[in-house]
Amino acid sequence: MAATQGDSNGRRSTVLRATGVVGAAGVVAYAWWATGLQPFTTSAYVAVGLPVAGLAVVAVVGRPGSRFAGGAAVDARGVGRLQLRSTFPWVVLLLLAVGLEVAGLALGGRSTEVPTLSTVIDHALGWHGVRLALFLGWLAVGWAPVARVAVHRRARAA
Amino acid sequence: MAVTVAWLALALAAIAWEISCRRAGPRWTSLTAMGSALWGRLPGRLALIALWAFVGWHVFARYTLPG
Repeated sequence: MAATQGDSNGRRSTVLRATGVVGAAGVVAYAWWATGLQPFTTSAYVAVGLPVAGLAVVAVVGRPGSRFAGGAAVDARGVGRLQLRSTFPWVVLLLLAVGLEVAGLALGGRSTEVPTLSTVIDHALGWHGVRLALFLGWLAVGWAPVARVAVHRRARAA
Repeated sequence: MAVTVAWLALALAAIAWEISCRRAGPRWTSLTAMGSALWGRLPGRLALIALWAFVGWHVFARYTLPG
């Protein structure tokens, strides 16, 4: 009986791992395709829009306390202490960034002396590999709250 | 060139501060904690997704290669 349950858990674990590998490969393939599209085309907008639409559906369907909406409960460090004092360094970094961006835009937005953040990033986007890495990072940042909740729930269930 | 270095320094400072916030405990709030706090309510989730979508479209669908 115990051996049968162990076999079942082992099979389940193998299936979960295989699903994860296939899913990760699918995400990388999608990102490679999406970052190979010409900018300012409908397909480029759609390629970025699909993960956004997927996450929006999860965010709207998931209600507080439900499977994908418990981000605050999952990572509670610092939550509830969102005061100027504890976030002050972030405000400073944001103001510095806004200052640089405004200065760059005031000079036309394409100045080589004072580039905007977009211009700096554009220089890196010439390589497909960099676009792929940035796109994967962008996906990871966007889906992180959902992933955190899913991992947390799995850990609690185990 | 100096401003490009300044942008890189800002990005590195943000990453370093995020890591130190996560190690320091509740005294300093990390970006992750702010995101989690916002993610707890529907308007916050939608605002985060709107910001994320703007970044995605701006960087990956509307970029212009220099030169």
